Amino acid sequence: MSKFFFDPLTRRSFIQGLGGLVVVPLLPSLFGEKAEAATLNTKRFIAMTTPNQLPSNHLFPSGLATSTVPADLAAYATTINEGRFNYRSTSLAGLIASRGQISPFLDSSLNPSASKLALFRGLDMPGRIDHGRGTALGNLAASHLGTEKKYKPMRTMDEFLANSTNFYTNGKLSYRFPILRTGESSISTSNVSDADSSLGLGIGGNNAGLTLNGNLSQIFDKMYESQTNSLNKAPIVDQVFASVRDVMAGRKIGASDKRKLESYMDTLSSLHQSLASPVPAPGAKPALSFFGSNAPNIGHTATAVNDVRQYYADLAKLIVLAIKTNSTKLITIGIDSALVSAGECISQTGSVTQWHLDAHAGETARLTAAQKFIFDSVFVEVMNNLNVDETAGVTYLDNTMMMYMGECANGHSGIGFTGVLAGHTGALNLGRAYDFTDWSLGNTLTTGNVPIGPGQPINRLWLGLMKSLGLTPADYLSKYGNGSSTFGIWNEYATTYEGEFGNVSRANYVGTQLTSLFK
Amino acid sequence: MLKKRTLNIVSLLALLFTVTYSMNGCSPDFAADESLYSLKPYRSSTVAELKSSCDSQIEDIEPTALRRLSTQEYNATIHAIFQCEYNCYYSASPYLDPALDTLPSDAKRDSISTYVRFSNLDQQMSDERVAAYHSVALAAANYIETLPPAQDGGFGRVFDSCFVSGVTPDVTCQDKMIRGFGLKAFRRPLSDSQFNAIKTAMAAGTGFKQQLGFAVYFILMSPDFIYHLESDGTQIGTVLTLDSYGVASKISYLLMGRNPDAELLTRASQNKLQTKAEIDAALEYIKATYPALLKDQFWKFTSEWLDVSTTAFTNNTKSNAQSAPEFSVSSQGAAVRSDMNQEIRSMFEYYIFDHPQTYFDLLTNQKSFARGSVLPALYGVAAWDGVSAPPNHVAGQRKGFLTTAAILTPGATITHPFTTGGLVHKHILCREFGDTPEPKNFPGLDQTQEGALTSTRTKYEQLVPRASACMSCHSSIESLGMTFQSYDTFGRFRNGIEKVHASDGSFVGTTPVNTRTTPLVGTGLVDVVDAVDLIGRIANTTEPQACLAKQFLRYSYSRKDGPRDSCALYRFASNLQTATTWDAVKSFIDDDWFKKRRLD
Repeated sequence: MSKFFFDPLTRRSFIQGLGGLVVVPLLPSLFGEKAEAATLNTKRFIAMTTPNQLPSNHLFPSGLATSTVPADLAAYATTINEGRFNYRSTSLAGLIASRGQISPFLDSSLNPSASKLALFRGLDMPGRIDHGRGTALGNLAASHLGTEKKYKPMRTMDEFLANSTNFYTNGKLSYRFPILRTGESSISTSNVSDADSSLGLGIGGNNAGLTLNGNLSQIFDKMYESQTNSLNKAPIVDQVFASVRDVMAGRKIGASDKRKLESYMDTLSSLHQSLASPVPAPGAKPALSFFGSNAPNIGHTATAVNDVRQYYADLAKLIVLAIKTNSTKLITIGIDSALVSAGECISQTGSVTQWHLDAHAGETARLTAAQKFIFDSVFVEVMNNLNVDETAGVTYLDNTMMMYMGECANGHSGIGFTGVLAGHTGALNLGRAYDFTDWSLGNTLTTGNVPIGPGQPINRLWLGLMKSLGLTPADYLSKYGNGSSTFGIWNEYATTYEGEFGNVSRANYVGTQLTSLFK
Repeated sequence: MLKKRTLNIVSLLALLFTVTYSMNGCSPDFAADESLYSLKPYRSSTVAELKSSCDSQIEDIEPTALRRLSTQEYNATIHAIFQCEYNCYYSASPYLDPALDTLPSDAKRDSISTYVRFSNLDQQMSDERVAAYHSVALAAANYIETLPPAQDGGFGRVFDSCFVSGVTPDVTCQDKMIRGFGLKAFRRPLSDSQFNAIKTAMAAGTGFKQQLGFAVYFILMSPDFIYHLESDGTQIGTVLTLDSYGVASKISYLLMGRNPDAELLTRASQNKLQTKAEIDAALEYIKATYPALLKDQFWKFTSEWLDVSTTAFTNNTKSNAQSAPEFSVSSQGAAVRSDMNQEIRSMFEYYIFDHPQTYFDLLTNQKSFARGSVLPALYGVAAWDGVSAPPNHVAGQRKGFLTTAAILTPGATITHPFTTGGLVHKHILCREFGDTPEPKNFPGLDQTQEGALTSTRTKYEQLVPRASACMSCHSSIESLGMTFQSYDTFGRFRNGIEKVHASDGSFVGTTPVNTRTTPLVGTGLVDVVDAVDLIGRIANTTEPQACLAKQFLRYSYSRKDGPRDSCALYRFASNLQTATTWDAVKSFIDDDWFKKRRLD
């Protein structure tokens, strides 16, 4: 039972309580419209990053589309023209037919899933990133670039989603895990600690992801416990209404003062509704046998996470469970040093330090092996387990947008981000690899032993993702106080970055979603 | 390529500033618009005119709408309630600061308005703002509820000294704690109904700390905390005379930007904030006890009133070529901007607080408050050490705050006489144009002139057709602004010669500077030779004092002045003529008028 009591006092009932002193219309948005819209959006978003460089020339189909290998351009079946820019894409099925697999990173085990995958590369951030906390989802503040430019903490894309009633249509933040932050939190870190964290975005609050210590058991337990914790620390807003009533009825104030107080009440009503929205019922907590013969060892502790393979398998299962039990629609998976340093995943590079150095040195083979281990263990595992029917003929994956990126691009730079998208069949043109680098412009550099050229602003990807998940510009532009500049900061794109590739004028495209990748 | 980009920046800036200060209906497109000719471009006041307006009516006051705390006031109040003033060991800061950071900034909307809009005129109550209030209140409640006994010793200072760490207080102490917190947050004692409402809210909690957290949440979301709720006092008709608590709150927010401290609340409880002597004593108490806060508040007013820029200098080839040999724009532009702002702030603090003089002295002094190495070199004076008497400027080169670099430097590659003229016109003299049609189709600076051996004055004059209706307004702005062509884009004195650089940084040549104009000063047009001459002549009228009185009223009341304010304005402006600026401000606050509020 909630410690705070909710008496959904609407402004009308409050006004009626005044004995009809003031007559105002009922705000139509408070109840009916939201309830009607509640079933319309069932899409989900899962995002994952791994640390250090994600070698684009091993993840993306190898040997394609660099100006230094012109013969490979023929492999691109489609050239996409947008203004002065020419992008290219090619069919994954065609690659598999000719090469047996998509790329060294996406080996033949993924061939059956190719029709639900889309690869991209050539998406740029306006400067050097290094180890950006949250950059993959839009927070540039914690990156080298953010330090250099003194950016304030910025909202990450998942937080915009969590706070939008276009995403959580039955009331923002009304899920058990508005954002389930697993692993560590680099991908989802906005550094904006406020109402969201206070209200319980994931476990841990204050933008922290789950720590290693028992985190899997925390997920499992909280997935089924009665909703008595953070979300129910909703306020006694109805009592505040009463205090406004007292002021309006009994104080020496003028008519314009009353209008201002009514305005305050309107905004309080909105706040009250969002806080009072019901949290989905958890259902019965299953026995561990629910997971079959390989039940997760959810008793892992920080010192016991030596079997990283087992840990990742358990993590993947719990994520799938969270989706299937409707405990969340937003999951961010940040794999960071604590996880990668323990156990066999690091065997590919020898040590975390070496992994880091490999990224600087462009040791793409070792980097690929290390990243691929995590990718296969978690991302692919989740993807495959969601690719089962949710409704007849439509899988959970079809209703879920999955994204995998590095925390930084080649050699710790922000240029040439490469990644994988999966699922969300209604929004993506799947089964293709998209290279947003325009090699024909003739400007190329080499970073981390990987050739790069002028790509497109990465915020075009974020905008496309948010739009495909139901958000409108009003959901993310100029929102949430000082932590609002995630997308506004791109106004600086022209002056901070274009020079890298000789004034190729990509700034004109900031603020529009990527063409061709999105439907 | 670079040249073209620079040209674009120049033309963009030119357009921006022409829109801001030149338009007001003065586009060539408006030439045939008869309504333009009805504008009153020289509407302003002298002290005598304020007196005349006052004499024609009974003492009165314009209505002041209910205002919320500004973002800065809200922040400062929260900190004053929770933080180191009361408890420095286990600060609430980690709980509260992230939530406070979500408060939207107050917007200073000054673009094409006809008068200075201070940021505290932004009274929008948005969903985002209320969500931030909720975040802060929730964070505060969490802080109260979760801080373990070993760390909660400071609660006694946040709430009431009866609290003992590790001991659940009895009902008497609990009530004291609630009333103590409510007093600080609401800036007056809780009424019985408020107290009962809080107790009702607390009843839903389990355990004292959770209940206390509920109470804190309730209080911080209440209108008595969020708004300047001036609703207690003696009401006659629609005019309310504030009680002592209302006065304590009003002067605290005006002069400290925060809620009244314990001493001021004590004086309010004794009803000792009603007479002129009592209020003067309170003002001197604030000056003595919170000098830093007081100076911060005056700087907030001054920097907004004078539109003091915080933007570093444009870093490009032309700017670097133009910049003084003592510094390069790219490496020291931001630091020099900071020095410039510190200089003008120091000048105001010197003449208002440290060596009190009149507003006339602020306008006309010839002292340099420049510190560091770069700015004094730009001025050609010795650096001020911050303690000794400030050195004098080179004779005839500068006069008062209007010739400090902070005012003179646009941060761009070209000076902007329309901007400087607009500043004097609107901010210093309160001259207004009346209704302002939307500007349209106004050209930027002629790009073909970039690099030509043409003076900045000529370039700007060519922007506005001399025979057009535009000149009905522009003649006023330009006649003020062109005098400041004595100074270059870094605020250096030009000695009559303007050095022209092309956008690629190459030196084009020199051209004579023409700073002679015929502006309206006082009641007639006067020939002036340069900015120093202009400032001296303006200072000898009473327009600046009348205008400063208006600006301070607008700032302190978060509204524009009106005819019913003229008696108070007259008294304030008169004192600005004869008394030190601090004493004049005191006279404004200890005036009976200050305690009154007309309900609308």
